[in-house]
Amino acid sequence: MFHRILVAVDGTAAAQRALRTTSELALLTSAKVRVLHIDTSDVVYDTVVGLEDDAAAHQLLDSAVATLRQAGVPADGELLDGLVADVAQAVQEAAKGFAADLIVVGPHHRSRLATWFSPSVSDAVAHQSRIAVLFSAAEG
Amino acid sequence: MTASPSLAAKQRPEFLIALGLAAGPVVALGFTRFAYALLLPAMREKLHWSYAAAGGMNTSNALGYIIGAATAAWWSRRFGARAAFVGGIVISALALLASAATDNFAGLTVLRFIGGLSTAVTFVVGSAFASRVHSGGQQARSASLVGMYMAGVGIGVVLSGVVVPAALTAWGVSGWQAGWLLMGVLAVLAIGPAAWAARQVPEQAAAGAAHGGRVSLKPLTPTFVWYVLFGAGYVSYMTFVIALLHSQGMKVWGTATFFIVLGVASAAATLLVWGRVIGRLRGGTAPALVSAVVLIGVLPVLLWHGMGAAIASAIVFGGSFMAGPTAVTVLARRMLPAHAWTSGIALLTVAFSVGQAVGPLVSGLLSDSSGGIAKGLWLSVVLLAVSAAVALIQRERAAGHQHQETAAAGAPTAAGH
Repeated sequence: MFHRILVAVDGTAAAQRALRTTSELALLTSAKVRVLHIDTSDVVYDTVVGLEDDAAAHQLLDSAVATLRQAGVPADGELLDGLVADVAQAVQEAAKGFAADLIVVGPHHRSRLATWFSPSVSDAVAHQSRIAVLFSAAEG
Repeated sequence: MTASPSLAAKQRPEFLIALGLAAGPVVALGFTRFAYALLLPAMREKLHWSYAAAGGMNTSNALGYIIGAATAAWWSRRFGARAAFVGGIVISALALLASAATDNFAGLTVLRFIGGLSTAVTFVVGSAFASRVHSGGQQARSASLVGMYMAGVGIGVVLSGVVVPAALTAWGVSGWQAGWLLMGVLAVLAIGPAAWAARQVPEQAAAGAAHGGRVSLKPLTPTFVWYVLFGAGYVSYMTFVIALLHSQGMKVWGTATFFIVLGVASAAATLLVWGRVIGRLRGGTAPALVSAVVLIGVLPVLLWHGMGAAIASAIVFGGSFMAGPTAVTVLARRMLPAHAWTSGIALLTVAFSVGQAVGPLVSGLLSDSSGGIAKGLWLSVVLLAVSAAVALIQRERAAGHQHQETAAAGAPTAAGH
């Protein structure tokens, strides 16, 4: 069963569902959990633009870790800086660093056009991962 | 669902602020840097310049750009970021107006140098302003607002593509002075919106002050070489392509259409395409792809004559030449540690400018030889082809994603970076 779970959160409703799923699974398997949030930036021409306020990123991560701990799950958090195009790779690296045996992500369901402008991290994680990946349910 | 009135009210100024700041690149890059290509054939004819002399004007401009890029942070600290940004536009406007007032080669060379310097200061400081237009929760909007600012380059190309041909149509080859004058007047008009927009953005310590331990840039050597070659290759075309089309018999409004299409393509592609494509590529693949696409954009005007070839070239070249800095910035961001980002990207910019300084001069010398101007532009093809090959040598060695402190969340047990 799963003993070390990495859950990636981004402040969306999908990430909240991923967090709930992780909490329930971790309680069932007595797993340790690491919450990962990536403070993203993008490159426009030659300028690197932060896409998230640093304080908001810290708050989001702290809140997610607190939620898990309140549920009785042993959890810590990891906050990384990264380009928006490199989020999936950062998730892989963080999973490796934590020696995770499961990655939990909350997929966003969007149109093809929207996916072109903002590629699906969940899809990329699933394609690249050498360990199990769990997509949390779209609803509920 | 409709946006609340307060949200709509908040969004409107941000959009307007970004547009106001875009007046900077309109003047700095659109007018002061790129529009010279439109005036080059008339100036060369009227002032009896060789192609090398005409190219030397852009060498002077690129040298000014190097100095400006290297000192932008200093100007910003010395006079304040707002004064540096607006002052850069004022100096560009004065340089444009003064270019209309003299036909002295040395004087025009100095004005191109000053224009290059003010272009860099305006663009570098303005970029920092643009990235701070939006603050608060929904920072994802920041990228769109910076994109709007960058689109100013394409807007400037389009505007110059209208006013310069209008001057040349009205006064023939003597209209080159009126061309500079009209752009100078538009630049003066741009000062107001730019100054207003700069006042709406919080002033902050200038970027470029971050220092850390010494970092070897050796792993990025192929990218440095690529950037010099790419800079020389793309700017040779950008400097002389209008002269080439003119020599092929294309009339003023034909070349104007070409220039306008090029400007629109550059703005659209910068905003919509390249950020996504480059983010998905690793190592030197992105710069190599950019070189290959720009090369394909150069070829039509060299292989065929006529409007169809010119428009094809404008679309492909215009849609790709501004992707070079994006490819380099992504690579530097991935391969350098955080404290070396600013200095590393600044040195890469110097490499780019060195290429842009050398390219027009060598291309001009070749154009003066027996093969004519087409021979000079084939240099672009060769340089871009070599640059693509050099870029493919680049291997990506990630510096790792940077950790932030997360005290409340607890330190991670293993980082692996």
